[in-house]
Amino acid sequence: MPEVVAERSVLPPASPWRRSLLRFRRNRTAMAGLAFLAVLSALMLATLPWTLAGYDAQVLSLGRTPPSWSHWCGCDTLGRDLLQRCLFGGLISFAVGLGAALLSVTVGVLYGAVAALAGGRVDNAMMRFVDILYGLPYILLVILMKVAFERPMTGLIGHKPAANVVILVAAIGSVSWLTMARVIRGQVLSLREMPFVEAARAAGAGPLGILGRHLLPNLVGPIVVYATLAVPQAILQESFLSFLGIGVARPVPTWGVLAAEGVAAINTVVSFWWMLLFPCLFLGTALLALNFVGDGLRDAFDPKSS
Amino acid sequence: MRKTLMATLLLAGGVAVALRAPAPVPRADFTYINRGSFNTLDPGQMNYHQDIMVAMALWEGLTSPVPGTLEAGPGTAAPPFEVDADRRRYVFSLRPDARWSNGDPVTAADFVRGWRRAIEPGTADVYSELIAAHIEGARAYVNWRGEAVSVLSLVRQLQKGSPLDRKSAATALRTAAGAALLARLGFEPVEGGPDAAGGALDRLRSAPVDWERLGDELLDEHAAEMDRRFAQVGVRVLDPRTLEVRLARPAAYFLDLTWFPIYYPVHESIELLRERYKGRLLADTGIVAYDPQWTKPDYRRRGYPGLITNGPYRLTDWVFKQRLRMERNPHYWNAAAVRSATIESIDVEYQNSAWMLFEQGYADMMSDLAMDYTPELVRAVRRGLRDDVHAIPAFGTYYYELNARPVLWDGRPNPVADARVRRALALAVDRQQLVDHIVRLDNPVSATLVPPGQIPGYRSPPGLRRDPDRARSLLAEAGYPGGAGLAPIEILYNTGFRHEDAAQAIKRMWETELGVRVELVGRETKAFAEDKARGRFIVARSGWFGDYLDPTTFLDMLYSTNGHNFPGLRDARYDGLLDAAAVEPDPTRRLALLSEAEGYLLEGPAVILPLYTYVSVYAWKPNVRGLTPNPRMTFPFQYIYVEKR
Amino acid sequence: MRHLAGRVFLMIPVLWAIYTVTFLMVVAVPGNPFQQADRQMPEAVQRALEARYDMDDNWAYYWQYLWGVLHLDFGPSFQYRDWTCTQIIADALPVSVLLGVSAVALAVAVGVPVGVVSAVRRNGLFDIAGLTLALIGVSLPTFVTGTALLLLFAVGLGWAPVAGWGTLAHLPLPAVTLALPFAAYIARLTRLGMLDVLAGDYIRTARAKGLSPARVIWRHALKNAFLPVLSFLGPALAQAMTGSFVVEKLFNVPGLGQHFVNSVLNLDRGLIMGTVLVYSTLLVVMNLAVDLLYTAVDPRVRVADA
Repeated sequence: MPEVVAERSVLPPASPWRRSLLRFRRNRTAMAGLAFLAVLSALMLATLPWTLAGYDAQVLSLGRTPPSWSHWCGCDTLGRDLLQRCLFGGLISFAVGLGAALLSVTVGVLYGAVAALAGGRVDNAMMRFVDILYGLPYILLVILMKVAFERPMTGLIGHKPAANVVILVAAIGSVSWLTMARVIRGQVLSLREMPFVEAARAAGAGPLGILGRHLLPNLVGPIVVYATLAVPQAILQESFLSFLGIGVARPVPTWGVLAAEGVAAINTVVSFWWMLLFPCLFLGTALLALNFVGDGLRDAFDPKSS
Repeated sequence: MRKTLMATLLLAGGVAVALRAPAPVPRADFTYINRGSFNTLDPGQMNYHQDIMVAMALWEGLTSPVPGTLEAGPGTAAPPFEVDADRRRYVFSLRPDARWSNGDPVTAADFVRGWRRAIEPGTADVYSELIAAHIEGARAYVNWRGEAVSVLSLVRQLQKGSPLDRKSAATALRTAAGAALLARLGFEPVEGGPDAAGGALDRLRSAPVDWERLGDELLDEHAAEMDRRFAQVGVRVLDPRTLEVRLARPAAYFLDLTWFPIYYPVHESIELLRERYKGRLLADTGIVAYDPQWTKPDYRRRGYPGLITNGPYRLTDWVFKQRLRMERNPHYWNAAAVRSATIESIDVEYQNSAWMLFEQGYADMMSDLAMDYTPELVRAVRRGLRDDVHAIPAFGTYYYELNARPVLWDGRPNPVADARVRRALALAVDRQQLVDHIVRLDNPVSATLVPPGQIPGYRSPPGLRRDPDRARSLLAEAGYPGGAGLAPIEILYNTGFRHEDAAQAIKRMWETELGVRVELVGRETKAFAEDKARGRFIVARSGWFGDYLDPTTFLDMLYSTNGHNFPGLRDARYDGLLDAAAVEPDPTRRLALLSEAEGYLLEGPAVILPLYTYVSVYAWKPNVRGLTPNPRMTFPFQYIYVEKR
Repeated sequence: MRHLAGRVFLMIPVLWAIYTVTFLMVVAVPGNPFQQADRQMPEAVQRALEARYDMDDNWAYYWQYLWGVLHLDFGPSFQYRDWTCTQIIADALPVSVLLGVSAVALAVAVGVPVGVVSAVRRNGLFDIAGLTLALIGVSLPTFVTGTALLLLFAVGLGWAPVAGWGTLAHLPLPAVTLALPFAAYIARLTRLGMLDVLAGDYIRTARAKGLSPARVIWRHALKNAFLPVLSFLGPALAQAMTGSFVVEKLFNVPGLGQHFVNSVLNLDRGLIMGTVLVYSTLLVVMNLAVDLLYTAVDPRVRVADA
């Protein structure tokens, strides 16, 4: 059974997974980040019935009122409670981040691995295709995707704002997988030359078998790391699109939409500080936590850093 | 490694030194910040307010606006102007001291050149309507030229063998010029729908014709007839200093139009930059084309001397999206009355940054403030906390348009096809709430399209004021009690502006008052404009600023055949009232007819849902003098100056 | 050398493909460049303008524009008709190059030392503090950090002009804002690279030989740890030179980034194609330059592999 022998040569008896997890658990900042994210997500989910009812409840006479006991984070232009909008918007932001990350990981891993395994001309052609996609105007792509898929997606989901979010996820994911593909290709290229893969190949394993059985387990580390880092990046991407006015459709909030509205309201004359501060506080701390977790995972999964 | 770092830094430093801009020029006598950058300085093609303002400093029409009232005052032509009894023929004599910035005298031919450029296909733009609609024969000339261009374009496409757009090709073939082409080739004229035209197209494509030669022949024949046709347009040189103008119909406000950029003269040097096709003065498709760079002060090509203008100022510097600088034109006939010797406009795209620049004294004026916190500035002024911000009710209305067609563009039945539903929607809107909490500029709340109280002698109709009970009963009457059974109403707006807030609030009002379902459709500006122009909406946001002080600048839009009739209104009674007003010689009765027309438009078909009157907010330092606020925010620069302390 | 020629040659089909796909996207996107939000253009006028700007014949436009590009002629701008796209790009490109190079240089100057010290003092106070600081750069949208810097340094302290371009005093604020996310990324890359290298055998050897710790870290370790940073610099430079839309907007810098976004929103065909071509050329050339540098630093890598 040469395969087993080969696996044993890279995977030491004590599962690397467990060791990585152990290392991760010892990382204080990463654990703090994880705890924070858990608490935040729980909070946002627990308050969902309340925020869902209130995120678009306009009381025009309360427009731009500062924080008070009844509205802890103040109100926005249309007199909607900012706390409710931040909590609900956070869920949408997370959904956008997770969705785009998932998309980019799936497509990126498959594409990168296939290119590396195929090698030669196919690899070359596939990578030039990535180059081409890198060069395309991103904003145009987003607008085009929104236009092209708005109607069919609304028909499919039956809910226009939700369809809009899905399209946005697709648009962001469709660009962010490129980096993932490059990283995975590089990893697979170096793994391909490893003795255990050679051994497997010698034993007659096909490319798909090699990918599933030998490469993917070794790729879990980088995949997890990049996925974690892709989430905050997708959330930032969404905020940029919102700043341009082509992000999530109103009245659905995201942290990016709220921050963009807050930045527009900030000035040197009359301060609507709460409109910028609270969305940014949510956005900043959550992304910081996500980044800490990502870095922690990276440290933990990097075999050489023990 | 440190070496690499040092090298990188040195490189950056080197680039910085190498690219350092030349030393800044001294500050102009008057500096201001525009909302948005300049798009074009071609007076025939401009349609943005900032462009028009600068054009008014650089050029001068037959008249020029009196500060404040904007009545037609003395300009390149000296009053009194000769008007015939039927008020359709004007004779203008140009003042002898009217000169271009290079010293050449301004002639009547310069005006004809400018006006002709403004309507010729290829150089015409949005505002060409102001000439086509008013000058006798202009519409016919434009149509004749437009048809020829569309047929020639088709011929050139056949010549190049490029793919054809069936719809536009069919339209071209159905014109008189298209029929002439078909007859010349021995084909039958095109009748019936696009399919019939498709057959004709296929036959054309396979016809053994030398398209290039045919195209050139057509072009020559067309060019030979052009001047003869243009001679029928009502603008004529009587002698170098005398211009005769004949109108298509009497227009009480015609003189006010003559200070508008579309009616400006153009210096003959532009002909040096006329683009040619095989030696002909027209492009291969029959359009008129000039090198678009002619508006640069330092453009030199084929002996072109750079932009020459006849207004109080001449252009000295224009850096794209950065700054534009003008200095007093020494040849201007009234140069002694021009207050500031130099004027500079700085382009700042982001309103927040623009405001900071203004506040820190980098500019004396900032035009058309659109920051999120503009209302707070206005309130600070009301409370006496500052004196540099000015809110002025504008001659413009913010409104929603409701589609009147029975079927939508995509085949769905139109939920607002019933006038009762449209009236219900209008009655359910709480305009005061909108103004108090979203726009927040104390805008006059109006239920009318024409801003009330701004046109002397015009009595605004009441329009549909808020009445939720009546709205609900109208909706029930139309067969949708409590909104039941009514398909969702979509509000189309362009994203990235404040339109989103208003749309969200109105959505809420309709949902709570009427129980109807409302969806928001936000689009990027260009897609929004295209959707609106093609009638692809149920409810669309709109805004209109009047061009001249007369109700028709608003009301004409809804005339059946008008290009701005986006809701697709075809109403014989409304058209009839406008027609009657057009021929009514008595000014009072004319305005009464127009008032009746507006009242009917708002309460009958109700395709227009007026929301509020715009308020323009401008900021200028307290030591700026000669700025005269007015609803159209048109202030001639030559009167503005900064008082030195 | 043969590989280099191959790479340069491959740039041409890639750029051409980018041009073609972008063109197809531009044609597919709905909307009319000559149309404005409220004021409508008469049908005949519009048809004539389309004829004037070759909008009525996409195929002809495609070839004509390509032919023009070969002569560095990017055609007229639809939105700013008094200017050619060549003029617009030629005005904006030097500004963007200066801003982008300064930002990336700044990012390297800050990111690399922070990364090194973090790695050496791993999990120490400096590691956590440095990383947190660096992560703020990737945890908040640029429009928020830029606004904060603007309010603090230009308005509050008056150390820099509010907005504008032309003197060196205008450079620092936008450069810092633009550098933040890059610095954060470089710091993390350096830190990871250092951690990898410090665990390597030859460092242990160097230490055993009695070299001073500072010498080991700054000379031997950093040289290898810098490699991932180096490969990031290529795309980073291209991105910093063209992706500075938000920074340009906030600080009123007349660079290329604004055209990248605005041309799309204006459907300004010539300018879209022009900016995309400039960006993708920069990207391809930078990547190639970085690969060349890579071989210079690390002789084991051949150009073709990178």
